[in-house]
Amino acid sequence: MNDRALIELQGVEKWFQTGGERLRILAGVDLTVESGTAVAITGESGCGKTTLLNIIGGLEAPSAGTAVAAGYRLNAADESELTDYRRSVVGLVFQFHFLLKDFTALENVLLPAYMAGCRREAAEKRAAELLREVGLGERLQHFPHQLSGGERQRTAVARALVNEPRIMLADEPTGNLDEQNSELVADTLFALVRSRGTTLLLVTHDRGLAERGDRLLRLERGNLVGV
Amino acid sequence: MKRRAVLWIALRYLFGRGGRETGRIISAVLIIGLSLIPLVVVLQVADGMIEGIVTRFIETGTFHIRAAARRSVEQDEIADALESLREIPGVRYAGAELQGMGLAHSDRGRRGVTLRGVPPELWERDEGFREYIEVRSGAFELDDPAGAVIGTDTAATLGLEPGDELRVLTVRPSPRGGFLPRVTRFTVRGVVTTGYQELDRLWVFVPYDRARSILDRSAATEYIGLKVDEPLALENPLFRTGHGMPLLRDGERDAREIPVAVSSILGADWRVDTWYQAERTRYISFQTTKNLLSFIMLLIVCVAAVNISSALVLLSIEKQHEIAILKSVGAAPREIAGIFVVSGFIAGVLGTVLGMAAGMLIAVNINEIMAALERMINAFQAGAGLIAVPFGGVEPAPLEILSAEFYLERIPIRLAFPELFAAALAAILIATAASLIPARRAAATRPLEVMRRH
Ligand SMILES: Nc1ncnc2c1ncn2[C@@H]1O[C@H](COP(=O)(O)OP(=O)(O)OP(=O)(O)O)[C@@H](O)[C@H]1O
Ligand SMILES: [Mg+2]
Repeated sequence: MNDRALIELQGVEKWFQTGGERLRILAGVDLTVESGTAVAITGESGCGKTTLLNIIGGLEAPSAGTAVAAGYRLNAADESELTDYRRSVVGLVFQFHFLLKDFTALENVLLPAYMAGCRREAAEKRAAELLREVGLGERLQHFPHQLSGGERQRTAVARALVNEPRIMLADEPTGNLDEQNSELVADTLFALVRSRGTTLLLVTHDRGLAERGDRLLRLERGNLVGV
Repeated sequence: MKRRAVLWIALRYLFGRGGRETGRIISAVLIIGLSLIPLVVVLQVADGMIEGIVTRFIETGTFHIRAAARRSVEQDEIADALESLREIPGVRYAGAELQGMGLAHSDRGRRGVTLRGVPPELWERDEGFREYIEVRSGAFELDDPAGAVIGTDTAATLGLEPGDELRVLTVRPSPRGGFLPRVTRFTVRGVVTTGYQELDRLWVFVPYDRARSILDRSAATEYIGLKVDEPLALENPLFRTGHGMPLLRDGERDAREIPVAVSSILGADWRVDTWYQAERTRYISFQTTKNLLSFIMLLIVCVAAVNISSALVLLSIEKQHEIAILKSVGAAPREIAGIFVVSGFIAGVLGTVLGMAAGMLIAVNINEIMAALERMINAFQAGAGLIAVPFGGVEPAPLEILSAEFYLERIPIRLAFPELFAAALAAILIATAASLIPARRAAATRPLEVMRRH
């Protein structure tokens, strides 16, 4: 095992039981990601990209194989270890923003910080700073429904980064946006990730976006292949 | 900060932006409030009633301390004893009483009565007696040896008013075996009530000397009644601490010496009881009834708490998606559960505050509310009677919700703070417990399954 490896998957398999049939999505994925790199993953719709990210994000357990990230053995972790892992190691950005509608942009960014036990002043300072960095310094008190799609997605990026995660997982963060907004979100995402040395796993259909990564991988028939 | 975040989310969910969820929570809160009202009213009214009734028994009937003669005692012996009893510090009143049975009759009817031969100065000397005896007509006046003071119920049954003649039949054993009847004529001087007819319905007060001459001493009981400064300190389980050590002030500690002093003055010929010993069964039976009622009322609160539970279950379903997000950004199951438990707690506290306030308001005005209800029902009945009578119907009797025959005419209200506090605590606990089901449900949310559905 590589000393600098932050994420290490070995023979990760995932299958779903539907009726009597076993639907095999991941067929022994091996992946090593070194700290600070940005990896882009592409692949056809339904090939299992989201599933792979979910496993690395501690949201789903692999059916077989080992998955270790930042020292957490994800394939064998219990609920409290996973909670701990999710709140301290990873930041997630989904295709859909998934902001809480009853909370302002600032509060949405604050919540994970509070959940991680962060002090109020420190958390507020950091959240406001992040929102400024994603270009929403003037929109702190706005609710999600008052923001545009791109703005919401940038808020989600800020939220994912508030606990200074070592791993950032982004699942088609620009999938719902027009070209201009996509560009803005992508710029923001890469700028933040690069400036912090965060490891990024990015799933995207967007060729241009994928090429901004250090490595480009493709998920095919349940396996990752280099492009 | 985690706890604060939990509270923050709970508050936002409860009173967020006035959506449907908020409406449901508010109605659950109102229902908890409503459900508490009966309990609060019962707690306060029952205490007032029990205290009112027991106080009437004590002040007008059994005294604070009552000694009953075990054998027939000579009058000067009693006079000497009274003399010494009045010397005991803390004793306000000491007087003899001879009680026996008689048959009272007038032109209108007859009934068995309890003759209470009391010293004419009882009214003058015993403040407590005066306070709880209400003179309806005439006066409490027994200076005339042929005077009598009767209860309202007897007055009504026998059709008597002050100035009327009351004949009382008593019997004494004849020297040749059997009984000899004797009729004594009295003039009614006053009609009185204690406000609790169960207590005074059979009472006929007559002068002590007269009672001694007409009552057969083997069938009558000679009493000595005492009133003291601190009756509650004499014997009252409520005044004891957990270790059975009485928690008493100085004057009260002295009061506890009084029964001992009384016994030593009166000797073995008298049996000395404090009011608590004399009225204990009544007191305990009232308390038991009250406890049972309170328990039933508490069940109503439990039923109402189901609303909190279901409102929160619906909330947890509506917020399922957001809960999944919270979990994916690192909220632990405990924190998610916490959001709902805190919501239940807040709803419980709000409902309790409302219920307590409304209950106290009703309890404090219970007499007026009852009277208004009675007036309303009777007006309605009278209206119905006007219509029914011409068609051969019977005019309905006016209704009394709390008949003075069995209850006090006016319910004394006493705010029972420790018990109200316990009730509030119970209600809050019940509401919080009701949130455990939705809390567990929400905590078990699997983020992925929910998010995939989006
Ligand atoms: N819980 C599940 N039960 C059954 N099948 C599932 C489940 N989760 C995912 N799948 C299936 O696994 C396959 C891969 O899903 P996944 O969401 O990972 O694809 P994807 O590569 O992200 O696709 P897209 O590019 O459209 O987002 C799909 O066919 C999906 O239907
Ligand atoms: Mg996907």
